[in-house]
Amino acid sequence: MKPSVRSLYSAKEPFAQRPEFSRTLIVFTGLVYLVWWGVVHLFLPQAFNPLGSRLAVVFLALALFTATFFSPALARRSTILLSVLLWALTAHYFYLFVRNEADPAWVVGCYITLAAVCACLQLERHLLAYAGWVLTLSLAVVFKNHRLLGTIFLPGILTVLLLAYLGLRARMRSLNRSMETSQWFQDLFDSVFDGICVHDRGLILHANNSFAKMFGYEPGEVVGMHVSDFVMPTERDHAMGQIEVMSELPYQVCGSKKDGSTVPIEIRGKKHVVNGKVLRLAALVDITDRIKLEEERVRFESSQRSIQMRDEFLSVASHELKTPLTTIMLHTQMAARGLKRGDASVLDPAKTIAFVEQMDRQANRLRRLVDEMLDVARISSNGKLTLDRESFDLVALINEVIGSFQAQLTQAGTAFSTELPARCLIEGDRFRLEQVVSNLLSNSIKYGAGSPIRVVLEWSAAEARLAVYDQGIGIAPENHERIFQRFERAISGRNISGLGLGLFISKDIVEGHGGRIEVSSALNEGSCFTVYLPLKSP
Amino acid sequence: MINEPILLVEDDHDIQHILGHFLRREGYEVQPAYNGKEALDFLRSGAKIKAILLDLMMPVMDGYEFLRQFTEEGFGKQVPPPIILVSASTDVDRVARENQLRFVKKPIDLDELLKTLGTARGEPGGADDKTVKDLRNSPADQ
Repeated sequence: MKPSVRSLYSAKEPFAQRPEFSRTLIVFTGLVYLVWWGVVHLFLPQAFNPLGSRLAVVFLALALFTATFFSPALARRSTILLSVLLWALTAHYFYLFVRNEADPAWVVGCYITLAAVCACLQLERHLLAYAGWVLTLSLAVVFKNHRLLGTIFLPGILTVLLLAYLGLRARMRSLNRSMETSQWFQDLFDSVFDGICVHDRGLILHANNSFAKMFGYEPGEVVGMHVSDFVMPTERDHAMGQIEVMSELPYQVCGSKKDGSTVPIEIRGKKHVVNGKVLRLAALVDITDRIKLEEERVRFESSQRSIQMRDEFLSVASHELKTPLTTIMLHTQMAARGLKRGDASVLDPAKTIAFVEQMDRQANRLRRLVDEMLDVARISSNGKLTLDRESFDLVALINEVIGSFQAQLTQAGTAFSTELPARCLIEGDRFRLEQVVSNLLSNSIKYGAGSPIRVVLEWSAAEARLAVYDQGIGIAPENHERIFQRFERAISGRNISGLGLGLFISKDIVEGHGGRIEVSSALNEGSCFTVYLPLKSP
Repeated sequence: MINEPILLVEDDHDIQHILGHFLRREGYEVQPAYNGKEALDFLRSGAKIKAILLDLMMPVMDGYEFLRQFTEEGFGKQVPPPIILVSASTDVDRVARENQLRFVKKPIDLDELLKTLGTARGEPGGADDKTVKDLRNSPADQ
């Protein structure tokens, strides 16, 4: 059965939430009752003033007071206790009336006390029941003694009716005020930006207008629906799981609107206890705009990054291209100066040979750079490099490449060792694979920082495995992916030469052969690049 | 008077070699340094120099870092040697402007380099403005 929303949110009895106040009132009433006995005893010594019956009432008040400390249930129902006390007091008055035959001091004193207690009982049903009780007692007294009709019955009935009227009027005023306040809260609740709902294990008990509007419903429609009606079926388990574990962290789900469309929402829920019942309060935010902004931010950042990468590339490319050009132009300018001066040594054959060799070396360096850039342009436009496959010996190729690096290795003082089989026939693009081996070797010299380099080639029936080890600066794990991307290098560009394209091109070549390239490395612990190549072309 | 050398900070061996050769021919002493760190070490040794030709992109310690440390350590506070940036970097003119330095773009035009070297003492921020003069001590080819 659905719990009624009204029962959970109805206004509570004024004292129900405040046992402290009721306790004070009970003690106060008992005290007043005893003090009244003292006053009558002092000033009206001849009046009828029995102590025993009065003490009985005071002890009842004390018992009720004590009971509220032992029973939380009684403490919560202290309004009932007050009523019980009031009924007992009233009964005692009438007992006194009958015994004393309406002493005027009694009538006045009793009604003053009653008025004080009545003012505290602002509940309609309590007052009505109390009026009935007074009426019954009065009728009983008058029935027993007709002479008391004038002194007790009429003033008694009139006083009680007056008190009932005053009490009810005060009650209505306070109700009115609380209704105004609750209307104000309702308006506030409806006009907050977030959608808010209170649900009992998914069943919506209360929801504000923003909640209904968020999903395209009328404000009254959503109460009684289940929260999963507002979530796309695919995400219901996720949402219900969050409710199940009482998560208080925000989470995102894809909401489902009345018309079937979807809306991304972020939900924050928390425990919400009403009258001892554990419910859940959830606040929902439509994050369509936030997601859009986030996407824009990501797009913007990635475009910023490409601009930055392009600038860095331009700067590196400018440096790399201009360095050989500088050497060439220095040589030509020097030669021109020498010739103009008529310096014969410029034409010295040995010098001329050295000059031409220098030119040739720098021109080759330029050619390699231009080739690299063209390769990248080709990969970027076609997606792949075209390969000219032939069958050749990979071992011979590796030895050739090592030979071309010999001068550089000797210059860097690098210890170099190889573990190569006698022969390893492979189908592939000889020129492109030479590029790969050359790139790996050049990297290990560049980043190996003079540490020993080891080249290992192994092969099985299906594939060849080429590994190049160095013990240099290494690559932090977070950079392992990045170094294979265009223009990227593990460490910032200014102090290492090269365009940062070598591994990008190598990866493309290896993958074009149906193989793969892997790196295993840690910072300052050297690197190992491994290339796996199928022996037969796919 | 002892011929104070020009500190040539350049990582490329070929350029270092040929530029050094040229400058010596033009009558300068040349002290090579292959990166910013070597250059700083040389300056820390207390040696006097006439000028610094500084490349920007170098391994170990680049020109930017060299400039930072050079200022920080206050080399030659009384008579700071003029620094001339010699670089292919795209931002060489910006770096030069920011540090109030002269610069020669790579590929190097030798006449321009000589001219810049010759007037380098007239630098704003240089030692004293009146010492606008040729730095050459003993031109060998005249």
